[in-house]
Amino acid sequence: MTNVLSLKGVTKFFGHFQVVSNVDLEVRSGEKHALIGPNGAGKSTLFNLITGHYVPTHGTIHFKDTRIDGLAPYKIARLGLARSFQIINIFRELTVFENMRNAVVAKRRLAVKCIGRLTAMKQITKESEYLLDRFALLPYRDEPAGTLGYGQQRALEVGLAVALDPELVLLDEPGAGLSPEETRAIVRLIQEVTEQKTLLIVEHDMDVVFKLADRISVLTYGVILTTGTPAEIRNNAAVKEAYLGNFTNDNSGAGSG
Amino acid sequence: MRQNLKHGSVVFVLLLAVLFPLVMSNFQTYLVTQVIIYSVLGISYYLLLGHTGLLSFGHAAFFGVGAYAAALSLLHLVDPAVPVPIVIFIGAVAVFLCGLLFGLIVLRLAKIYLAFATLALSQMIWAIAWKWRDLTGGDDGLTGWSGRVVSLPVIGQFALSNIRFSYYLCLVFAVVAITLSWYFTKTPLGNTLTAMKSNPNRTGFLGVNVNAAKLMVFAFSGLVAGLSGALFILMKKMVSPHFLDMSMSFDVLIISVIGGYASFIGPIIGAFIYVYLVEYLSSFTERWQLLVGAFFVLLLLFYPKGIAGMVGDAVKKVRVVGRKGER
Repeated sequence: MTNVLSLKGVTKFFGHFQVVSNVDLEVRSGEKHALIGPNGAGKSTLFNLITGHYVPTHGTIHFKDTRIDGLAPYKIARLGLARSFQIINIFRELTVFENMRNAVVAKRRLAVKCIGRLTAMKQITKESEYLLDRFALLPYRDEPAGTLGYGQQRALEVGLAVALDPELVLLDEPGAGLSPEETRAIVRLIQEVTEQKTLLIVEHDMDVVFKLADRISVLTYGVILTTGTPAEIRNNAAVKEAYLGNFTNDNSGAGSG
Repeated sequence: MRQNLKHGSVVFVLLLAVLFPLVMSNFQTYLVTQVIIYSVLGISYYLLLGHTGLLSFGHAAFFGVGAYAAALSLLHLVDPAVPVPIVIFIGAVAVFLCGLLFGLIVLRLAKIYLAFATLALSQMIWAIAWKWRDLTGGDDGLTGWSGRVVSLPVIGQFALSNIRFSYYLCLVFAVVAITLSWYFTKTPLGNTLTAMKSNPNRTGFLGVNVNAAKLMVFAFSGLVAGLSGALFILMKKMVSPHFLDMSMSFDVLIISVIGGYASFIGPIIGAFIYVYLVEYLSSFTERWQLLVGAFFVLLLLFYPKGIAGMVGDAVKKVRVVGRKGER
């Protein structure tokens, strides 16, 4: 199986503080890969390194055969690697439709085209509406995105990434701050829209992780502890100790209670 | 219905503009010519601030470079009847290039840093105009075309001193420039600029080259501002470093804010109020600037969205009341 994304020896210092240490990570074509770890483990930093927001201090990052560390975020996005954000990062003042249309225009490489009126480009309107419908956002089409409920803003956040039709989707805590029902809805949505794609997801909610992931990597203190299938991770003693201890106890407690 | 109302009012205003010099005095015509030129300048500023969210304190450079480029071409193209569109074209293209240069230099800056970088750049250009006497005439500026005859292809020759000619020339070029600017905001690029105003970070992560878009709006805004500078020297018959200095930049800002900086027609309303306010206040008192300042502050306090915002809110209110009435 070929790797879509491979990190080799990726290290990031902020001043003297080593946030990410010598990380090797491989994401295989078509898999759903989850990245878990306690708060401050460096998961979001790793995302920011992969998507070009930060440049690694050492190490290399390849997307298929292209080396992408040090490239500008827009160039990385154009290669077919799109991300969503942990803290909602949508166009708050623009309508839901305009939000989605921005992504569609960008995907079609029309963003700096200065000939022709955008509203006259019917395929773009159609595709944007199709995507809104897919994310159950069509009823809110003309409302400013900032006024939506939190769950809908989350869906839009993920939608903006998926709308780019990337080969690799990176989702940074898509379930953050959602109620259990909303979480179930977004998991179903993610499963639907990433069916043909490779997924790398950061998530705290273990229900979400075990439902979605084919493979899981555990990050603690900037180091990859281990990578394996959900079953392997569940039974890994080091992982239990470092991270899942509380979680498994809680879960068995809830199950027996 | 709304669309018809919009088109109707545009046609109505254009009709008024065409008939204006035929019924009003030369002095009034002269004032409205100024309004037209400032409207174009204000709209070029709207493209940066209102549309893209880029705050510039150096817009005088765009205006002044266009004015100087047009003046120099008028002086050095010795043909007794220079085709006037060429003069205007030279002014516009000079500032298109100036806009590209500004854009390249300030590409990575935003907000107040951008504002002060543009201020510094415009002051540098002001200093060049002040010191390079051989080219620019220094603080005396340039004059010497008030008696010139210029030609318009196909239409014929005109004396620049003909006030009605100046007026219609400005009107035609202003209509073209404003229409182009409107179109510009409706293109995919125009849409991208709005996205950048709302969230430049996410725009980049969508795969948009934000810097390229920024460069393009700087260049296009320069083109439009340069055109207004060229029109201004055809009307004023002189150019001086004052066209380039800081107070000119802030005049543009004041025009935008009075009219409503976030609205496309804001600068047109702002230009009207500004020109007439300055004209009539300065005939009452020498301290007219104090009064303009007071007006500006009051407006900012009570109607930060400017006159256009005020009218927009009122229309919205009427509509809401109307809808309630229907129920």
